[in-house]
Amino acid sequence: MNMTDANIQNVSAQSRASGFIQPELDMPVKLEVKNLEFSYQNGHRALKNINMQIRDKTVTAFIGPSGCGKSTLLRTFNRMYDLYPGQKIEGEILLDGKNILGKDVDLNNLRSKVGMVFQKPTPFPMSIYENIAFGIRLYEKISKSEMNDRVEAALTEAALWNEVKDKIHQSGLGLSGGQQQRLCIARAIAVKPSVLLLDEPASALDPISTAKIEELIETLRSHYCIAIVTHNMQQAARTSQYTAFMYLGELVEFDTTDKLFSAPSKQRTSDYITGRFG
Amino acid sequence: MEDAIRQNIMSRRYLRNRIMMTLSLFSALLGMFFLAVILATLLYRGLTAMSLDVFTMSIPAEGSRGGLLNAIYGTFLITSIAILIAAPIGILAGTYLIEYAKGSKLAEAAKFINDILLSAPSIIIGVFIYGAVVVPMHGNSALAGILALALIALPVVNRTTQDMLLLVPNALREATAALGAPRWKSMTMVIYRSAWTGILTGILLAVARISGETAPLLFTAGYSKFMNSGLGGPIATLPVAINTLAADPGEDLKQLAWAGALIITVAILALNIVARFLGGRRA
Repeated sequence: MNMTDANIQNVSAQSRASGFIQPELDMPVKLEVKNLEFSYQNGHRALKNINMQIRDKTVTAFIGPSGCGKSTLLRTFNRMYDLYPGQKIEGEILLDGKNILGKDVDLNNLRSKVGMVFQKPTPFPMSIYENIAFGIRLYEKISKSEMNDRVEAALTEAALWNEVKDKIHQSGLGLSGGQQQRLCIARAIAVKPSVLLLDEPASALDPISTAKIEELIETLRSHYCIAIVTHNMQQAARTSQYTAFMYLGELVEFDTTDKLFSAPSKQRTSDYITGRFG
Repeated sequence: MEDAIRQNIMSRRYLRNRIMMTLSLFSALLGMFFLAVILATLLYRGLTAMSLDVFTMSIPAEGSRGGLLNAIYGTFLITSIAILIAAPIGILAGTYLIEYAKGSKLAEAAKFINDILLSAPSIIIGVFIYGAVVVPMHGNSALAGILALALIALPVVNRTTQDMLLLVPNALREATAALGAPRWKSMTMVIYRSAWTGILTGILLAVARISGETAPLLFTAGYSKFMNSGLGGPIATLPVAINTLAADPGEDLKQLAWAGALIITVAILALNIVARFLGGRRA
């Protein structure tokens, strides 16, 4: 696996000029979306001319009413749409400066760099250990003891190890919803991605499990570029440094989370975050 | 006044309710009654005819000792080889239709034809194999019986595989793809794993179905009184043996038919119970 970390130093001049003082707002750009257009098989234009930069080691939240395209946008970052025929995409998405939308891009390689966690927990029908090892085995041939270490490290990083260390060979389906979701996060980070896509990761969970996931996002931020789609505006405000507000397939406003929630520049954003529609 | 009207309406409702309850209870009991009568007769006549000879000796001539060993062996042989042929093809076909060709014209047509095959009268399958295998081979053979039963089991396995794969949530396919797993790995390691009890249930039900089939075996596998281990010649099976022995004027042979009927019923019942158990555990 040859990770292309060369461009990680590529800090855009734009962000330097904007004069943010908080270092977490001034991380290098990891993902850059340029003139992105996306339509589904039925011709519905789900994304209209999206342009944005997503920074490394930062949490970027995507908010907006149902059907606004936020999940669709997230699913272009790992080309999930390739699973379904007839979907059309135009424009560019640069990961570390390289366009991932090209025909010659190795999807499996891309997805090893861009991990994803879904709304409903999706543990595989196998043991907790095997759930983690499954992904690692796709990319690496390592010894049994190394594998044990990697599994433990991934579960520890996902704040699940202490809860499951005594039943690691039991089925992952036997865990609670919140534990299953953390298992899925552990599975995603076990293959050492640099980007983590979270598609409403807590919307199927109870408040306590949600709090744990949010804490986890906070600790993961120092290692990954995280993009999270959420219906919950408080969650976006709590977990992210940048927030993108989308409406009807357009990126209405994209700014630091502080700014977007305290002084949005667009009327529509203000209407949405104050609960006037959506 | 109004209370009286309401009272009147309510009591009529209660009455109607009671009538319908009685009718449906009666219908349920009627169905159960005939099943119980059949099973009781079968148990009584079958157990009377049962002896160790049934399992250790082949079909006799009237007046001499004998059993059903060759027919039991024949049913076992034909059914197991037939399912070994039908199960892999059925699973692969179902997988293709749901996982790889979903929505295509070919897949829709194949599904439709498979469903027709599923409900085709088994005698038609028997006639087809008679024409395709028995006539060119100049005679009945175990092989022809195997092919006929495989052809009956195939659409059953295919359909159950389709249904079970459709039950696997799409999120699981996306989750494996999101990890960068190639398609075949996703299928073998994750998708089949979550559908296998259902698919296995389908295979067991297919076994139950074909092990009791008589019509497609009558002129394919044929009938033999002797233990026959090769696949090239005619072979006795329990259903065909029951059919032949029950029609025999000899009283001993009729007894043997009852024993055979009990054996095949118990075996199919057991298969169904195992299948239900597996199916229930999945849910």
